[in-house]
Amino acid sequence: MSECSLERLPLLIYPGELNEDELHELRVHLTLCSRCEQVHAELEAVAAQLDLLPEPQMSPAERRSLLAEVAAATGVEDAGVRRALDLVGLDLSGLELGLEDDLRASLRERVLSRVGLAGTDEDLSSLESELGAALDLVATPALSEDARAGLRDGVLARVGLAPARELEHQEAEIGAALDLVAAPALSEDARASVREGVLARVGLAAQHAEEAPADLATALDGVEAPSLSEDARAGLREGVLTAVGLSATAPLEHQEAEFAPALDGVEAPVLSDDDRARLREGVLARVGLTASASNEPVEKALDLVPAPTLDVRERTQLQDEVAAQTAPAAGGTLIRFPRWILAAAAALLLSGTVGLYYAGSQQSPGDNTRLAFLEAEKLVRTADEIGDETKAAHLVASARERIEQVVLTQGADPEVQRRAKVELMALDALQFRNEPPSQGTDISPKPLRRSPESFLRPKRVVLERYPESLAAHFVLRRYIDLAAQRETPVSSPVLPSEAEIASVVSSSLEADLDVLRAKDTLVFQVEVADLEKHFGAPSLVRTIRQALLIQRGLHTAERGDAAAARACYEQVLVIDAETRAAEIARELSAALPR
Amino acid sequence: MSDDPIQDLALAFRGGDSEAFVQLVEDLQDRFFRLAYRITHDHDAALDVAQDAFVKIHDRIDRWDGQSRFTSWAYRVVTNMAIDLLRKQKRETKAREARALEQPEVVEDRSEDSLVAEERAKLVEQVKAAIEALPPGQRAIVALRHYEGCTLKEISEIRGCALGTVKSTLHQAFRSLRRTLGSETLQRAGQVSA
Repeated sequence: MSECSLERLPLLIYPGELNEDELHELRVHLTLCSRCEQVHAELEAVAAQLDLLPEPQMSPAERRSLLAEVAAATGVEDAGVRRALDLVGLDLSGLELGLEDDLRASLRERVLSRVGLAGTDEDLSSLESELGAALDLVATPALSEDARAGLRDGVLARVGLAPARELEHQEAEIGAALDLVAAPALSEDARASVREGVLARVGLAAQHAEEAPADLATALDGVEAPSLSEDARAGLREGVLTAVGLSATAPLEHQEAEFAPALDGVEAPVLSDDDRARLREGVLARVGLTASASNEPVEKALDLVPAPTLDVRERTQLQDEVAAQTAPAAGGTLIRFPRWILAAAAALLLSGTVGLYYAGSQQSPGDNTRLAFLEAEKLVRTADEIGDETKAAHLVASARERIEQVVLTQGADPEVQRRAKVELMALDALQFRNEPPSQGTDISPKPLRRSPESFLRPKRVVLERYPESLAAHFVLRRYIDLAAQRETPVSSPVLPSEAEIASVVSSSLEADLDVLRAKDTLVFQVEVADLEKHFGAPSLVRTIRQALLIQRGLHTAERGDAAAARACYEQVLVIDAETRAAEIARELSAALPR
Repeated sequence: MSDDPIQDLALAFRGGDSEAFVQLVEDLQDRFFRLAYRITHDHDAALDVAQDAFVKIHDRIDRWDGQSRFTSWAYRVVTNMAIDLLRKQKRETKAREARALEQPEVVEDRSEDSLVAEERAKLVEQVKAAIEALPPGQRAIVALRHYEGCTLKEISEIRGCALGTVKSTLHQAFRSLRRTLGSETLQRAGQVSA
């Protein structure tokens, strides 16, 4: 290009105006002509500034109004208007008698524009009041106060809204429904019912659920989904509460803050201080470290991990990793452990735990004892989530059998005896947690026929000696239920101290269960992302990922979703089919029901 | 049937299908409004232009030959109506400003919050003012090219002028915007330092 053609410069800003040759020619020219280069830079700056202006938008009401006005001006029938009229079922021609033209037009426009928004407007209470106000304009002499009120309620009902006087009542019901959302034992059916109830209460009939605001429907679908992170759950809960005009309560936040750090990263973390100390020493010994002040960060991480075991190769690998990280630097100063390395150590040990958990026959008696107790505790904590009663009974029987086996082999140890007694009590109490009240015509055997006192008598020792245990919680809960269901006055009422214990234990355990439920493998995944970002050790990251997938598979299998569990195990093999984790994944996958 | 559903609807309407017209209104109203707003910079005026343009299209559909692109023809209607309205508004604004000069200036009591908000909106207002300073024809071409994404060839059809004219007009518009935006900035900087 020998001459400057400034008119061509704007074409560079917008794609598609020049072909490749022209584009190339113009760019070459820019490199040679400083004047054009400067002008081009100016034009680009202008284009960027033009983008600062916001996008103008029509509101839904303006859209509806424009269509109606154009339809009126051109004599074309507006199908949308017809649909809206049909939806309301309101014969506007009947209102012509008592209204001036402009008032009637205003009424018609307001009603139609609002009804036109019914499927999409989130602020349904505003819709209700606006629609009500529009209908209040109907002041025909032929309508009495009652008739007008009836008409108003009728129209509101037709568009899926209840009369205003019922709103307070509805709010209370919404609150109750939302309380259920965070409750621990929602079955699929119960959750569907809650969803339907909430949708209905926020003004969307269940049969029109597909018309619900997408975010609300999605949010409700997501309640208690196992893959939700804590943040997502918190956001979800707050979103649902906000959607129906309520706010999150402070006590729940307090509970989460109190329990979440203690339970982070741990699958079944209820170990006594002594157990933890012994476990920590054992683990440190297994990975070739000794307990000392310099290893404190590692020890803290290990505190979070229940009974791990590593095979020789894994132990060697971990020793190498830890040794590399703890080797003195050039100046002789010990390298400080960042948080993500501790997380990595914890996750590695967790992968060992998974293997241990499902390879009980190869473990030492001490390991088997701890595992039996862990299994029982975990079962007690998650029993409410097992919807299938037969499966729950089978798991309880299995857990009992393992503990009884432990008592047979380790019964001489008083600590084992104590723990076994507590866990058996808890498992026993599980049998009574959701039983229906005893009826005179009920001929089913044993526990249902017990009086509250006979039920409580042999278990009082649990209340006295282990008042904060799960066993105490379930015993008291069942006892109170039995006492409340009895028709005759309670001859031996619940002592105030027992009621107090029950109340405190119950509330703390409910919170505990919530935290356990909220905890899932995504908590770890976030940390894995940090690892990948900061730590160039693909093998370590792969190992952790496999451990997490196995853990997730176990969770989903426990919830009865064999297909999802199998998918998790398959991903483990995709990452690396030659590892110990891959072996475990194959075993677990083969054990899943077809 | 063509690949362009708008074109099909327009042909159906031209053939007497009134429901097709209602559908055209539903499908095009946002685009009409946006284009009108980009030219007039007035929300209510843009709504009026969009509405009147549909009525005009309804009444004069037989003037569209059915061969060329309907959207180009329809955009021409919207653009011309918006430019007409803009010219009319400018005349009225000049008269209003002349009257306002005779009135004493009212000093507003502005809170700190409103000053912060003004500061945030200052740049946007500056760009808006620069566009408003353009002649209506240049404004229309900037709106069609920059905001609506029409090609220069389409713009030449919409505006009914040669492709070269569109190019030079677009270039002139950009140079004017650059000058206006630059001088505004310098002026404000001078005020701040003073």
